[in-house]
Amino acid sequence: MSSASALSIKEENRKMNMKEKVRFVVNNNEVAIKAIVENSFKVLAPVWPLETFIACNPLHGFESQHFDDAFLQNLQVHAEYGNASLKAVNLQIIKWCNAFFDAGQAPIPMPNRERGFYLAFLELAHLDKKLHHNKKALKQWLCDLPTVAEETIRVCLDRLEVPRGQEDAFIKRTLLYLPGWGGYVKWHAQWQDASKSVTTPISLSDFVAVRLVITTLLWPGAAKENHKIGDSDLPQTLIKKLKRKENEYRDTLLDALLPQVEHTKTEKQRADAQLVFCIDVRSEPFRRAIEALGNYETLGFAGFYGLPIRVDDYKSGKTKDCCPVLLKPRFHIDEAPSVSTSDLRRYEEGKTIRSTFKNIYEGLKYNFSTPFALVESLGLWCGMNMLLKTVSPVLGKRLSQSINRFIVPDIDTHPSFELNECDLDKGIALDEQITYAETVLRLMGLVTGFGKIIVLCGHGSLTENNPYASALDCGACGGNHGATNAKLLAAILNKHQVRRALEEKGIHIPLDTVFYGALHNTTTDAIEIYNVHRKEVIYPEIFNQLLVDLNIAKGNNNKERGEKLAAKHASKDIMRRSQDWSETRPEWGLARNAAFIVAPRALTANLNLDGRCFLHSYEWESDENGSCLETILTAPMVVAQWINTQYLFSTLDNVRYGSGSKITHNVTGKIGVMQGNGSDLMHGLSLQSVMSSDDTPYHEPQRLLTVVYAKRGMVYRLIEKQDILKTLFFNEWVHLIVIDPSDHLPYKLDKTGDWVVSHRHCGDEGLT
Amino acid sequence: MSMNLIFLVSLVLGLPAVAFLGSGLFGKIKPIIVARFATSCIGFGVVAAVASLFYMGFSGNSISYLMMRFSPLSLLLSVLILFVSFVVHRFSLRYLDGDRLYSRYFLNLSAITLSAVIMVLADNLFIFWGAWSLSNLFLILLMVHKSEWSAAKNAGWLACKTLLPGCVSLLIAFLLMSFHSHTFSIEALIQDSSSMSTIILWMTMGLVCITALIQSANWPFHRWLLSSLNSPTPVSALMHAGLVNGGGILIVKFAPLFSMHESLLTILFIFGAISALLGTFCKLIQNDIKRMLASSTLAQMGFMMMQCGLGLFAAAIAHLCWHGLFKAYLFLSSGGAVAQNSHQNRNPSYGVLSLVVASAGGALGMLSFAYMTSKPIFSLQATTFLLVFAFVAGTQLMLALIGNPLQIKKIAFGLIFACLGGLMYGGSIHLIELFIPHMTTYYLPSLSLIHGVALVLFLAPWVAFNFGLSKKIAQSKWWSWLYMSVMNLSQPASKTVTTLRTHYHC
Repeated sequence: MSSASALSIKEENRKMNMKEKVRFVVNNNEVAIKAIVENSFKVLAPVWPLETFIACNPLHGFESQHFDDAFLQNLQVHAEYGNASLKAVNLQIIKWCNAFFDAGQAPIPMPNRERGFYLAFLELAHLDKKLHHNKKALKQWLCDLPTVAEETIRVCLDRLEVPRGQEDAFIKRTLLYLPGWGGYVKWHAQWQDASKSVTTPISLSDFVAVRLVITTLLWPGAAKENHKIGDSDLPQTLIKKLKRKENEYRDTLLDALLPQVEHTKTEKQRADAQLVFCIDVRSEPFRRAIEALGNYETLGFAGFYGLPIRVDDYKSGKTKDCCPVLLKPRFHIDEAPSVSTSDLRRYEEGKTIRSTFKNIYEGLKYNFSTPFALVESLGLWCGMNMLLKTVSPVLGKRLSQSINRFIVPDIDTHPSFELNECDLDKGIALDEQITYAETVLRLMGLVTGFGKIIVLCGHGSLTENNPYASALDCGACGGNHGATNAKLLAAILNKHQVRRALEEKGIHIPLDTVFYGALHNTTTDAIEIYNVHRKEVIYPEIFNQLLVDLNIAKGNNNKERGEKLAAKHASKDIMRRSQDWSETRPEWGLARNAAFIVAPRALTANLNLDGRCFLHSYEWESDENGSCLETILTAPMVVAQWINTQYLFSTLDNVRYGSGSKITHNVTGKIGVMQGNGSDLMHGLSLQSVMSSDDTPYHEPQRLLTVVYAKRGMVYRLIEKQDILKTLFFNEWVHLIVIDPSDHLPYKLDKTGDWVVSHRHCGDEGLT
Repeated sequence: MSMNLIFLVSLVLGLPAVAFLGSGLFGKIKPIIVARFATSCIGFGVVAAVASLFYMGFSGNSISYLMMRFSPLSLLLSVLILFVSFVVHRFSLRYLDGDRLYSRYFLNLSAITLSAVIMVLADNLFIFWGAWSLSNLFLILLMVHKSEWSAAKNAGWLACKTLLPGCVSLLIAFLLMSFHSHTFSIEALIQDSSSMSTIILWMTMGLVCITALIQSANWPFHRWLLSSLNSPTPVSALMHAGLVNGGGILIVKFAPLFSMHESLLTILFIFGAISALLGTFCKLIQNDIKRMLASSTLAQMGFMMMQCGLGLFAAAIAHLCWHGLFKAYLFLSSGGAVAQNSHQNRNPSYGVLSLVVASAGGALGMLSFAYMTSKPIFSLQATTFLLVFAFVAGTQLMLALIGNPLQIKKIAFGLIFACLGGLMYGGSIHLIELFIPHMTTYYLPSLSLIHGVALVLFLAPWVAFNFGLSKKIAQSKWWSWLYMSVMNLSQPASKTVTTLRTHYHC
């Protein structure tokens, strides 16, 4: 397949695999230190900032090991805590990281930080009494430190008397003392988009250098201390329990799936409407709900619709990367207003008024001497607002929305993606549009049987006062709402030139098929279809019926979800949850996710999968060389695995891999949360995201079960070709079951690479 | 004395008591229903308190009844306490859902509400002291919440170690008072303190001052406040809107006695000024939302003490009420901090001309403030102090409006808004002063050099900040030194930080 997105994914994977293989020789020079540091950082998983929260396997760096070993080893690494000097070092690191990484909390930022973490630290460190305790020698030592971080690391390693050859192990150990902040450094240095201008530049060596300088000062014996490795049976029992759960689930799922295999062949009449949803587990119950209401078909596809784009959003004025973090955005487009000039002017004026008020407020609040008058003037209004918001969150929200609308009327926007001469960096060329359109349709297996109306749904959440808001948004869109991608693909597929070109490539889209972009609000289950008036509606009655049915589906799905939220009046309660500022569980997100099913919808259409499955549409017949499946397994499945492991570990140990209880969260620097007065950057999911109470988990911790409906020979070829798949399947980070269309039997791939018929009912038919 | 009033005021005390009893007796059995019941009780308590406040505000006289004193001032404070407590109760219903200690939390919440209401209403010295100490005890219990989390427990200990001396010094003061004046009634004491010798009076008042400074976390007792953020968010809201105001409430309770001791007031003023300056500076360099709010509270409490120190007791009450609501709101909405825009590089550097033009707006704002609160303008008495702050705020408001390139239209708008701002500010203050007119009469007749120096210290950084000085000096050595010193000063106590992830407990 010539798909650009697939290629770039492969490229990324190859790079990652290469990094693993390189072994470093320890030398006394900068490059060697850099290499040691880079290698040490493998023990940490990158931590994304809260604004674009991305689920990531907290044991990402250990995926080259078997799951059991990685798990055991990690629990042991953490067992050596409790030393007072270590605490003193961590305390200072927390202080410095907190000050340096601030992305907009403090009006007066840390001085010199544009010069990088280490240099900024160096400028201030000799003034920090907590570091040198006013001892002259130490102060002088701080002043004399080299300006190159790697040199400093060498100096400190020597001073700490770390034996040659053990630098790597020592640095790894120090990094694991604060995995959250270290992970954030890793994100900054390795995952952040390099083209963006960075106000807080930091390299891996910077962080290690600062850590070691502080260690040298406050914990000179750090390297000498022999660290005990704690031993306990707990991890073993946990793994056993995990495996039992996984087996049970696999058997139940296969029991349900296997009888459905017969249905994959049935011919269907043309659908009135086809709705495409993100593979997200939250789509499954909604798809069931809408399918039941009429001649509707649904499909599952990664919510960024195969379009790696960077979007300049007109309304928020922000730029966001709407694609999986495994990809780099390839196109830059605008989400531009689509209203008349007079409306736009009115909107602009309103926006100016709003920002003026904001300016006044912030000018008075973040200043000397003025906040005293400000609080006295605004206290009454804050009190009334507070009362309204707590007594009736829904009313409060409605009121604040209508005031906001009164000042700034809402306007429609659409993606503007054609090339234009004013801005050569932006837009998508026609041939690229065609290539992407073809790739996406083939990947979702939608090449024939187009319905009359096709709605492409992105998804996003709507919550109030929630630092974790973006964790509930579309992971495939980099923790953003997926509306722009959906609108963009719909617009491309509605273009005559694109349709004509697709025709030549053998994809015939009937003339009366119209595509719409939409947004599935996963908190309330409302579906908003965009830019309806911009297109000619060919089947108004079908369209109107669809709108009615979507509303009914919303109610029905609310009911189903309401039970899981223990709500008495489901619809009312769900509405409140999305608008209540005191709600810590606005929705369950992807909790209880368990399986990733790559198959035509017919295989799952008659089943209630309980919102636990990622569903990716796939037709094995139309994918002869397996390139579509290759993309599905190396991209969406990897993302699903990240999500799955994040939930898994956050549930197994919420303190270590999750972020603890929301009730004591403290948002720092607008980038992450700490617990209370200060702590490690608490990465991972909060207690309330995975537990229904302090003591009862809601999420079922289990590893992802991938079920593929395709020939097992082909699947095996793909696994041989892709290192990432070998890693994930053979190290049992993901379980793989292939249901082979030739004999309708489920095959499990075992550690040695053999296919085993995996089902209790299929008996001992043995190896193949 | 009307029966209606007695009925109303007994509700003010009775409803929190019912909430407390309900939570204590049935909280374990039906935690959610009982919590809802307690919340409703507190809600009706607010209504009763507001009704009795208006009833009493219009009739204008106070009543003493069963060692309680129902005056407009005490009822106003009850309204504040019950209101904040009601919002916090309501907020916690969902916020703490699923918490292991749900019912205990609500029990503590209604207990602290009851004891705080008793405290503001008490007329008997020892009932007051008991309620004061109990409130602090419940506050510490709420702050710690889960004692398995050592950082939270240490923060509780720190608060305990700081607040306990305050309670002790208050007890000594009260013992001295009752011993020398042969009365337990605060009201009687205020009316006639002639039985106490000047030295005893000065000593007791000094002890009360110490307690007040500790309670309101003024410098040098601010550490416990900056280390208090291991508490659940609604507890922080309750604390910053309620219990830290205790210092101000205490001073105002004894306002007539304090007004006779100008030296004590000046001491209060100095501590307040240091806290206000320090808090403001700390706030501007904080990187996490909650500690920024705590630093801001330090500044605001300092300002309140300054107002007390000037004898502007009514203004201090207005300040503690409005600041309480403002801060509670900000704490409860602190989860939204991610979504807000960056505050960095927000401070534009204005030209001299802009500042001069804007000061016209400041003057206008000040005049409208003076008009609303009927304050004299050119008198150089204590109220002038407030006018300066009104002037500064008005100027800042206009600066934000007119921006850098000056335009006639913007200036006109700026003047109008500065005027409106002044009216709004004055209106807020006047609203509170309406209820407690007798409190407005104690202010110092003239400002001294100390006050002048303090004013300069407040104005100078403000002017510098608006000229963009913080950016210009960012490279300089002494700025680095200042930054580092304040940064270290504003750090929480080391034992209250969760330095190791595994030491967190949820």
